[in-house]
Amino acid sequence: MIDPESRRVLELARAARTPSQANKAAVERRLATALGVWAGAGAATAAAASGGNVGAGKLAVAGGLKWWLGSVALLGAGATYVALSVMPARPDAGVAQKRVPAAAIASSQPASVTVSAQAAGETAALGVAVEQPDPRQARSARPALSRVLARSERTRAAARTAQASELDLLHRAQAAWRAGQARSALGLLDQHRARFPRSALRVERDALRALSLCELGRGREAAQLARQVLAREPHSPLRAALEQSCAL
Amino acid sequence: MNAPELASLLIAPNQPPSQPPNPPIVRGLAAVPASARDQSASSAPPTFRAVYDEHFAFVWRLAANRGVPARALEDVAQEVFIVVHRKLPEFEGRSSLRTWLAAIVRRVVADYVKKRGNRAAGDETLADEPPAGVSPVEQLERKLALELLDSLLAKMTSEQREVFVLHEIEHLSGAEIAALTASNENTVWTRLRAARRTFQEGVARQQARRRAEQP
Repeated sequence: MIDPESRRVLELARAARTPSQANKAAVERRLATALGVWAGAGAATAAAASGGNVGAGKLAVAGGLKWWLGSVALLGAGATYVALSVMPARPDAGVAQKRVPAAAIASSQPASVTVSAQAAGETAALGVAVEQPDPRQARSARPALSRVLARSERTRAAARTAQASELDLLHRAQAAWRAGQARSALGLLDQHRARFPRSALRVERDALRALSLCELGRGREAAQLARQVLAREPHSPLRAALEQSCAL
Repeated sequence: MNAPELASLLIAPNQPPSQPPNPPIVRGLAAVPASARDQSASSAPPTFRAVYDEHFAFVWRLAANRGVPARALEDVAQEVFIVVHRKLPEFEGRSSLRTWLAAIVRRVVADYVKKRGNRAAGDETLADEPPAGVSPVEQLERKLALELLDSLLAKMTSEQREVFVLHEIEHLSGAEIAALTASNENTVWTRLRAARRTFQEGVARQQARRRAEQP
């Protein structure tokens, strides 16, 4: 058997590697395109539920039963064109086509476009076709992506060390506060604030600080800080802890 | 106020509970999820949808633990399920579904590694986007645990690593792993013991370092 500490590390690592629903939906969309599985309402629902974001040039099209029903998402860099082919409600109703530049739909931000038969009314349905982006433009977009992905190992190692020591400081502060050593906890939190002024954990730090101030009978300071915390993060999960303390 | 536990202070009290405890490690068919067992027993292959829904996370984690970087995981998972889609009608239930899937993941990842060449994965296996409903502290803990796991997996032989991941993380039984790796079960347990030793010693060393750093 494996010891409890090792088991805990394994469980945390397993959770870290477990995919999100967004990951699952993204692969589902790709499979819908590649295999044509889950066509129809199921795929349309999956695409809509997942927010319709697909990588450049990738699309998901779901076929409807009565009408053509297309749901398309595209990442809006480059001169991708979405051709909205308005298909006739009846085979003899004729065909009209309208070409809309993607840039008009999606400015500089990745965006999604969803076209539904319902939106077009009861008498017409929409077919959607997407022209793939120019491969030369896709290539020219690559260097920027590469730069983002190719952060140096040194920088990443430094970031990891900083994160570890940041977490360690907070854990020690919390342990001190739990042990009734609020003054010591405040010292550690001061260190944290000095070293990581823009920390992603500053809400947790300030909440712990407010609780420590309560322990020391400094209710007014605690209340002021707690109000600041909740003004910054009104839906913070720490609200309950603060509301139960002297701070609020 | 009473000192709330870590979960109620630094970890959101309203976050979803952590994953349910791991299922007991049992050998053979019992380690296969109930739905897959039922489907195997009835000899009709499970539907593609059911396999996807039930085993997507398994496939994803397995690929990630075999060194596929985060940005390539969607490609690899897609490739795996394309093979699954093609081969599923031939699945006869002679092995467990997870063993069968793990074999596909193995082959797809081997192809991926061959195409990728010798470029180091680095810490690309870390997810870029934090999952919803997880506090920053837990995110950080998960990230550190993942880094520790990866560093310790790197110290194992490839055979030990494979057995360790399949058994300790994915909870495959010794018999399933033996079938997958075409080795006998005793060999699996021997490799697992060695891998566990490496892992536990590494975790203990890290704990000792952290204690020593504290004043």
